[in-house]
Amino acid sequence: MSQNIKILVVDDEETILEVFKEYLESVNNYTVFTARDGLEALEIIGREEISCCFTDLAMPVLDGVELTKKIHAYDNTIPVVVITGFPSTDNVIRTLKNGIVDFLIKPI
Amino acid sequence: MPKEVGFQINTLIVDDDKIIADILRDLLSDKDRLVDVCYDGFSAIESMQKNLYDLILLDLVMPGMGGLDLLKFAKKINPDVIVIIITGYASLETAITAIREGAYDYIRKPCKLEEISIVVENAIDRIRLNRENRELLKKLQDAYNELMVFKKEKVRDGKIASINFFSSNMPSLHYLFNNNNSPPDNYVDKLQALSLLKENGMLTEIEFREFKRHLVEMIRAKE
Repeated sequence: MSQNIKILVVDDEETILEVFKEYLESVNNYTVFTARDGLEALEIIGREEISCCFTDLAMPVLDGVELTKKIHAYDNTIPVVVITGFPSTDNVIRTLKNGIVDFLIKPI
Repeated sequence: MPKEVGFQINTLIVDDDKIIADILRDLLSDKDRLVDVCYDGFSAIESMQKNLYDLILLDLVMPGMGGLDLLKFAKKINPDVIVIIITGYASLETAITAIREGAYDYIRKPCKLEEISIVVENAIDRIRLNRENRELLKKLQDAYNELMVFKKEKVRDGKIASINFFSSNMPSLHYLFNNNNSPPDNYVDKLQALSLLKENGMLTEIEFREFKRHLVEMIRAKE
């Protein structure tokens, strides 16, 4: 059942991408796509049928919240989870207002 | 089982500060809105069991039962309910918990009444849209069921045995609306398919206009 699930991980830190990819592919046999910035992420979202997206909050070009808005404008059924090393109540409220479903704090 | 009331928006305000709760009630009361107020968590639970609410405004910190416990309870009773947390004690932990439990918004006190009004109006727009979608889906399901009955009757009577709407080139309503993840180009196909259904007398003018409007909204939403 998990074979058809495609997950997108967006982070400008290579280590995070590698850890997520290795973990999700080994444990659940998901297909994991990785992107280093928001634009690359949008390109993948348009190309692949992504089931779920994990995104960093602070990224150059397009931050996690802006990326989420664009993802939801394309397909509002894709759940987006934020991963961040700098959690703050303001950030959590900002993500809450933009339909993000969960919030993970680095180090994970 | 609580009953849903027409197009009315049923709202519950839960705050142990009676002055704030009453101000919010005055602010939100309207001819299309029924607003109930509870001043503690336990009476809120009782009220949620008796009535089906569309919108709940919750104070986070209250004696006895707090806003986060009430949020969980409200979502358990009605997963579609929209819950707005209003608090003077926002912390990272409570904000994250609120996200995980499906809160729609999180307002920090002190706040302007105008801010609450905007958040509530947005929430009501969402409720109306959800309700409209549910009704449209139900109509679609009814239309689909009718088509299936029609098809069976015709095949049994042998009058139009050569036409099979679900195995010939005739598009099915299921195809028209079942694929929400379609790329925008597919909507053109869907509109064409919709026209074909109307031309073949499978949809009334009203149904055709309604489905077309829904499709156009979907296309606009994707843009």
